[in-house]
Amino acid sequence: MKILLVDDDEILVAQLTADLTAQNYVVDTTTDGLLGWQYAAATTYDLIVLDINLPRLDGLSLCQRLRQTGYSGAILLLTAQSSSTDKVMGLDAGADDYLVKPYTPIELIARMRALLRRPHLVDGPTLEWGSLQLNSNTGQVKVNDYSLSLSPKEYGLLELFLRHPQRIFSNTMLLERLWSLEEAPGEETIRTHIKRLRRKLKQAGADDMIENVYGMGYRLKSQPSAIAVDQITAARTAALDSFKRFMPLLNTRLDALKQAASALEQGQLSPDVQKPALAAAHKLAGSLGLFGLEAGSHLAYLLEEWLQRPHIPEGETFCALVEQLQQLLQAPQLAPPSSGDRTLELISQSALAPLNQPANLADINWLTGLVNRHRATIELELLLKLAQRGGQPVSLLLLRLMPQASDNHEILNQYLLQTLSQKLPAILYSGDVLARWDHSELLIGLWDTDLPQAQERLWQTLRLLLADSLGLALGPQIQAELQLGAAAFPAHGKTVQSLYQHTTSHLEALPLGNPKSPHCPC
Amino acid sequence: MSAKRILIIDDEADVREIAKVSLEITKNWDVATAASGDEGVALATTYHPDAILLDVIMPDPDGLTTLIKLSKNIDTCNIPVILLTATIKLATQKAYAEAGARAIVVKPFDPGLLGGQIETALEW
Repeated sequence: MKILLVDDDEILVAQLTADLTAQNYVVDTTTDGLLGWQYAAATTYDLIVLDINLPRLDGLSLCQRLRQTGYSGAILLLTAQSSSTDKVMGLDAGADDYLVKPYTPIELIARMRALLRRPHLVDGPTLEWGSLQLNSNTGQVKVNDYSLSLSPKEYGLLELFLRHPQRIFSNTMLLERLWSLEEAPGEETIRTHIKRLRRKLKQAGADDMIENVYGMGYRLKSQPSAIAVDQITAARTAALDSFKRFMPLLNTRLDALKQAASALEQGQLSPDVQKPALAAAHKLAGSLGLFGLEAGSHLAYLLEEWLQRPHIPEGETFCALVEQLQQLLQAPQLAPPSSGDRTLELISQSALAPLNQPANLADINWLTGLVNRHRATIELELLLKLAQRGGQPVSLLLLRLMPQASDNHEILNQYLLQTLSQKLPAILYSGDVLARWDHSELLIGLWDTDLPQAQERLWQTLRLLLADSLGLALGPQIQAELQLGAAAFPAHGKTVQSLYQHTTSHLEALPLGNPKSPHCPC
Repeated sequence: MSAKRILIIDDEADVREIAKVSLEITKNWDVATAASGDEGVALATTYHPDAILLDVIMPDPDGLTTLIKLSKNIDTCNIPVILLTATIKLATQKAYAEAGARAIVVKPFDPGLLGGQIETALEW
């Protein structure tokens, strides 16, 4: 969506531009009424925000002129005047809405969003195409419930195509609609962005939805039949249905692991037993997830790693893992595989480029799929900036894992982080930030939430989640501990760094699976 | 456009069958399977697949040996190969890249998305 801001308050314009750009809008700005008119005549905007008091051409006249010349997008007027006569004049001039100063940037952005959602502009906040859903309120794009992370330009392209399903967009039109006048990239840039967008959509399982119209540009293809979506479901169901048939094979592999466990209990793991057990663990790691038994694949992977060690330690942990695996296979909870997994990497001559990375590779932690510390710092700083302006509280929660099993510390750590990363988004709201912060740490930023609210909202859920997901998955034999830290903005700090430091100096231990409710370490 | 032909070489029956069924259901491709590297190389010369999915860890010959055999055979050297594996180390990846492998599909894969991933990797 492209927005033109015409306001002579340069500080406000700079703040708004930063906020709107962070929310994937493309923004042009000017402080002069006449220039605003020229901008609007030169390109198409979805929304124009006008201050009434502008140099050279006032906002009311500009608004009238835009409507007289056929501009059909939304117009929002800003003014210091609050009398009802002024409001009527503004609306008569063709404005869709009216906001009286002083107002908060959040209030303004909310009004802008409301205007952009109006029926003459869009069909609704959620745009759909086949299995893809784009929510223009949250900026979230999902394919078959798998969240796609797109760059602002990729998001802009997708939203534009979805909003105008019949229209062919030439390169020039795309440049006009999605790039600001200052950026002015070449047409090659558009091709690159389209290619990346197509690749991400395909990886997520969406059909190729953008077509090249020879000599003219790009267009959204007709909606796919439900068949394609059904085929994906049918393939997953077929895999689940074949589970019983493959049970004898899976049990043979489990038997090889049980033999290794019993040999270890007797203190003698010979190569004759170890080698088939290693092959069995490898095969189970690769196959159990096909039936949705991802926890089983994880366990088998841990066993495979364990059996590959040059000096195999005592077998208590190994036996516990085998027992876990056996229990899982005795009462399997079959479910379709999660499509968010990393399952494809491209091999190039020079470098190995993971293909199914969401968004910017450099910003995403490969293990957890969460934003990394660098990206999270930017997002949290924006959260704090908005909170400072609007007076909202923000809470930071630190989760630090402390696996105690010494012989497979690293693997266990990775498994716990992955499990937490998959479960936590379900209990967070849109606007919260969840990141892999450090080697064993996840950091959560809770928007518009003070610490008592954070405690009320999250602590009990978090405790249950940890007990269920981690305690039960690991079983009583493997010990691990989670440390929780919390800090409130602005009471405990005004920067991301100072808040993080506060969380680390107020850590409280929560043994995993411990039924005792943790207290908020405030 | 005629249906693509895919050859799956994997010693694990469950992976072989689920991959085959998944590609048949989601993409309507023709799929042949082989349970060993040697069987796969022999089949590739007569079946002429558009792509091969090759397991890495198999009994003799293993994935790398099979890949090298495919790359040295005039009938199969131009067929793109995608590796199927639960684990592959960075050091080994280099050897596979040098032998001409195009991509890695990590097991366990999602049966619903496997076809799309092959299309992405090979830019079909």
